[in-house]
Amino acid sequence: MKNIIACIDGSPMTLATCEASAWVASKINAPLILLHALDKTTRPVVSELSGQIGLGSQEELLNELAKLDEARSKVALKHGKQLLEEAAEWVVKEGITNVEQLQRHGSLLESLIDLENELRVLVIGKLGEEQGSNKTIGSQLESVIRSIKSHTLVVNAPFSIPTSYLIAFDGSPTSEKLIEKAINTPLLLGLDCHLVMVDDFAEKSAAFEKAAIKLKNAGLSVHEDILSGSVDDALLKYQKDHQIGMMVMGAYGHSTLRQFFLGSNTTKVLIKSEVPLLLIR
Amino acid sequence: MFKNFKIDWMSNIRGDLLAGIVVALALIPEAIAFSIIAGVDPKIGLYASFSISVVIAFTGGRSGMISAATGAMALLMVTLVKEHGLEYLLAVTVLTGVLQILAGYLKLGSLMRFVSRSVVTGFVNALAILIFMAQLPELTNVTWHVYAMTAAGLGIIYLFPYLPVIGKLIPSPLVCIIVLTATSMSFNIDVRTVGDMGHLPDTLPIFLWPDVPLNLETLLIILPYSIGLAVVGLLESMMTATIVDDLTDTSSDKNRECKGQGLANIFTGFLGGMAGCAMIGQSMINIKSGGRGRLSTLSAGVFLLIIVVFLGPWLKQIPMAALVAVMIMVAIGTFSWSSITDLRKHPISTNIVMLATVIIVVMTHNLAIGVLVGVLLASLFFANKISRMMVIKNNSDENTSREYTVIGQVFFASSDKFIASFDFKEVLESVTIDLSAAHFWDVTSVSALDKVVVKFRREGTQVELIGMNQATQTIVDKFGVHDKPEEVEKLLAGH
Repeated sequence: MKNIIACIDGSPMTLATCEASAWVASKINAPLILLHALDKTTRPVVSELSGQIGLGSQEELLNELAKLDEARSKVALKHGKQLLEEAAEWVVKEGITNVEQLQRHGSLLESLIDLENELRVLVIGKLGEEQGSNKTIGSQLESVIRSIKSHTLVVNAPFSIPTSYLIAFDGSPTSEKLIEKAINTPLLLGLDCHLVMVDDFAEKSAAFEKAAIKLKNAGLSVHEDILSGSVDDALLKYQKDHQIGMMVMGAYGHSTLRQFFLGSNTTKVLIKSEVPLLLIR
Repeated sequence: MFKNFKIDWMSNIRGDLLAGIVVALALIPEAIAFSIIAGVDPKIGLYASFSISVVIAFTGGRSGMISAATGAMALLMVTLVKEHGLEYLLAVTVLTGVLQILAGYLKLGSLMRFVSRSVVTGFVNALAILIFMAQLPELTNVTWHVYAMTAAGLGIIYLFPYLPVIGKLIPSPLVCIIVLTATSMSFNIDVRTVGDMGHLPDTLPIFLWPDVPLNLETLLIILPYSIGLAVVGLLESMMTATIVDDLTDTSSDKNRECKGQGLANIFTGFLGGMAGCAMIGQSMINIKSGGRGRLSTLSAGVFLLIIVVFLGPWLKQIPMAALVAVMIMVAIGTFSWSSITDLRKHPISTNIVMLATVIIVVMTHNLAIGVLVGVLLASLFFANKISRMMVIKNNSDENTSREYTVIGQVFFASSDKFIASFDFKEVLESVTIDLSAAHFWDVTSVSALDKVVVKFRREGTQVELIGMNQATQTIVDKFGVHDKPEEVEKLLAGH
């Protein structure tokens, strides 16, 4: 049985993540796992700058570092358990009964890759624990989205249950697949669909029409619109104007290298969006 | 990749930069000392340390590990430099790098699993002894000033960290170097200084093709040295990587490290530096000082070059005694002192492997030979132990038949014992050999089985083999002759 995994940390997004995962669980009726990763790499490193090594330095250093890790792990473990307890309480309150709590050592990404075979939908908060004022998305979010090949719901706080969603279409084969997948997932069932394309080229608008017909044939109520301007701004403006509760996109169509030079629409929307973002795979 | 980039470089900026400074200070004495051992200007070792640590910061497979010009490598270069000169050393360095990259692609890093714990301990101890012995020329035939300064230097290094607050903020080796330099300058003591040992860098390194004839003769000169250097460099790097893995409780990519070391050496050869590898002592200093990421390795190299190029005139004034004190500290810190107390606890075979490794290295000044001997000894001891795990039980049902049950591993080391366990003189009608708990590993063991079967047959005894497992069956079918009549004829005729 494939699971929904919700990533729980101590961030301000935790409550919203719980609510969103409860909503997902009510939609697709799969077991919900609340996951807390105990990541050692985020802990501060102690340093002693004496630059001196003496008799048995290696053993001594190993002991010291191991002891420090042990002490920190114990605290982190306890803290994590408490977080998971609270999260489980929230989810149960929303009426979800099939809930499991899971703690794993290692970074969040490592844990998720280990669990990937069991994963159907991932729910993750937009911000991590290390809330700086200038941080716009969590430090692990992008790498998680890039590596995990399952549906991913990126949650923003506060969460409210969406009644409609927006699909960004660009005429590419990838986005045609996206339409198909959107029709098939029970997550989007019963929600109003807004099919939107930025830029208008003749050859693309044919594909756009086709996509709209496909959605309609699937029995969805579809609103179509073609926008102009930069992709991220146009999409977000449309979302605000129409009070749409969720954005649906395919994630990262291009390579890291290309993105490094040109920027990525996924990341831009991720940063600016105030509503949850569902990445469909 | 993106995630790794962030963790490797950005996760610990402050710790990495501070550790980088401390490590740079620990690298300078070693680079100078071992340039002198190899018989080249200190410049060569310093350029090498700069270029290796900068390149390995990007290419290495173990973040937080320090690589630079090392003693283990310098000791292998001595005769080459003496007989052929510096340009050949640079060519050797480039070829060493090429060989190491090759080793990386052939995934030879995984061969490290054949190097047992006791060989690693022996390697580390031998390395420490070599580093210490390399200091002895500076301590023989000198005035009492040198001894006094070295002793004072060691005193500063080990006692300064006990000072409150300041002791943990300023690296004590740095204090040692500054105090001793100031003392010798102000009292005008006549001792050997770094400036007496050869040229120091006064410019940034430049890219140059080694000035050697490109022909087969050159290749034949440089290849043996390159192989030795490549092996020693990879050995020390793999061992250091394991130590850093343990200390930081993280994992490393050993094959990437092989390729990284190779690239670093190729660059270094072209920049006019000598071949190097990872350093156990300096890597430990780095971890202790809070260095974890690739930034620590990079900053160590960059700080080293800044210090050397801009403080060159001051560097010349450093008395050799100060460097000797720092190097003695590195030797003491590298040596595995617990291995001495462990001698009483460990089995004798383990001790023999460890001590043999140390003794061979100290005698030959070649860590590769020591490790090879250590690995061979360890394998022999292991084969011997496994061969003792074979037993043959026999029980006679009646007077005319007997059943032998073979339990354990039958291979070259246990084959003789296997044959000797059967009583061929006994008069029997039939013999059953139960092999269900035995495993035949090689051709030697199969021919032993043949011998046993044929010998019984010669005495007129009927032999039945039962319970062979799949693997044994396969190898016996392939190499065994006892059920191939024409081969048995040959076997009988031949003996």
